[in-house]
Amino acid sequence: MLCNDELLKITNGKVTYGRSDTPAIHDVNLTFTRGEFVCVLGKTGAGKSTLIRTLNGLQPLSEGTVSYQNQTYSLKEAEALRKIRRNMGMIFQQHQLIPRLSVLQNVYTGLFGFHSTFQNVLGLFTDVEKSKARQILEQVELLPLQHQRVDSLSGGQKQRVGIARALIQSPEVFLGDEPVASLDPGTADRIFQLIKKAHEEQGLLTIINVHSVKLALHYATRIIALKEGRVVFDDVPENLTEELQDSLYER
Amino acid sequence: MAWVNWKHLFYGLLVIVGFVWSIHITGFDLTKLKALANMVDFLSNWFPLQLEVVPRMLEASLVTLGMAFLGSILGLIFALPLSLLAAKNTAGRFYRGSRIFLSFFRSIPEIVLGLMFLTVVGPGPFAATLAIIVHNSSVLGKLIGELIEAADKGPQEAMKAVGAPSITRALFGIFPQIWPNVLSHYFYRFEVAVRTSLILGLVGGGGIGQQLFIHFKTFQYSTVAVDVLLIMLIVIAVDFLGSRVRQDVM
Ligand SMILES: Nc1ncnc2c1ncn2[C@@H]1O[C@H](COP(=O)(O)OP(=O)(O)O)[C@@H](O)[C@H]1O
Ligand SMILES: [Mg+2]
Repeated sequence: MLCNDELLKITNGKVTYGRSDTPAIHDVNLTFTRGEFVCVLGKTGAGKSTLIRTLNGLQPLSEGTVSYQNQTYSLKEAEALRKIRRNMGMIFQQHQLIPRLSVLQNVYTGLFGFHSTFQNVLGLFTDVEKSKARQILEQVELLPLQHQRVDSLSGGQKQRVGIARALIQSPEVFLGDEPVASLDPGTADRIFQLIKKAHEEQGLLTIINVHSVKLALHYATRIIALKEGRVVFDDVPENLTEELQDSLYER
Repeated sequence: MAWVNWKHLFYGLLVIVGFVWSIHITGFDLTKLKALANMVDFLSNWFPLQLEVVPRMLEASLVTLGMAFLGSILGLIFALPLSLLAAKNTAGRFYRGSRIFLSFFRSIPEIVLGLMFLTVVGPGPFAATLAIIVHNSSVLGKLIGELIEAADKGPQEAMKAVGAPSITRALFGIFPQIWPNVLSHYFYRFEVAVRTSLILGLVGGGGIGQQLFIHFKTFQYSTVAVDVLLIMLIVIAVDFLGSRVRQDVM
């Protein structure tokens, strides 16, 4: 399943924040296909978050285009963008769960793109969706905690809620912005296993920013490295030499 | 001077000047307190309490409580949508207009609002309640608007990322995190509304405030004493309720 299954594409991508004169990312040309497990490497400030946020339109491009299934998106077409976004599950470093709501309620928020505000507020989800929520909670091993408030969970548990919220979208694309950066190595590895499993079962395109080269080498089928906003490596993990790794993280 | 710079000194001087000027203009003179005996004399007229008016005054107190509650809760209900229009990050092009609209209504003293509604609906608690609603909608609209502006962007981004419709995004991305502070503001405004409804009693707004005014004007000091005690009870009760709910919500 290669080449023809082109899902997500960024062409001549460039982002410049505010009045800054150096772009956060520039000259970015990437094509992503279904089934790829991509890890994005680079030191802090290299442009990883900016890149991943352009992919679902959270960050508009200053120049260039992003397209999903050959449909270019512009922030002006809010409805079209919304429909693209709901096909992309995203998990964040700081979880970004809705405080004060329970685990289960947070998982339901992943369905918000598929319903009207009226249905969302009244919690009018279908039986299929409800049993899917249950099944996903079982998958991320949070079923016993489903009625607990998310504020009371540990970092690893919160991130699993984040994953569940993304999975209930039945996404085609799974995006992660350093989802394990604030977790201990053991927990981080378990979170990656969970993502990898969902990735394989559902044939997703997964793109994740990571700080740890070790995790990337272990899980990725493709590694992209950024340095000062440019793509300096885009290949299979086997070709990421020690020298390259060193040069990525040098001052 | 390690901690103080010229700017601090300037503001310090400004405070001192303001302090002296205010003492002068208010005739603030502690030596006048020598006549404290007058107050004792006045307060002695309050006792013994006129106990047979208690049931009737209790009823008037409940009217006051009702005005304050209805006025502040409807104020809150109107303020919630208004606040979305008064916050930079949610209002878009409506921001400036609604800010001006809210500060216009906020600047009208409640007693003036009360007098204006009196001419429409006649004297009584209804006019007073309307005044409290208008005032609290604009005050809470602004305060909640500021909470919305300061809210953590994270959950809002997450709601964007799942493709939620814009109103869903605001409701779930913003309100859960600011809810304890909203309630905190609300209970404070409820307390203030109790005091306001007393003042509105002076212009015919009904309730215990109006009774207090009448009894005072007709020198029925032992009834005034009952009114004052009941008022203190209401304020304490509302304050107590507020802190209980706040604790519960945190
Ligand atoms: N919201 C923002 N406003 C201004 N500059 C930003 C913003 N976000 C990121 N930057 C800048 O853009 C560059 C890339 O940042 P980022 O994409 O967050 O990198 P990474 O995720 O790899 O650490 C950095 O120089 C950073 O300071
Ligand atoms: Mg980052």
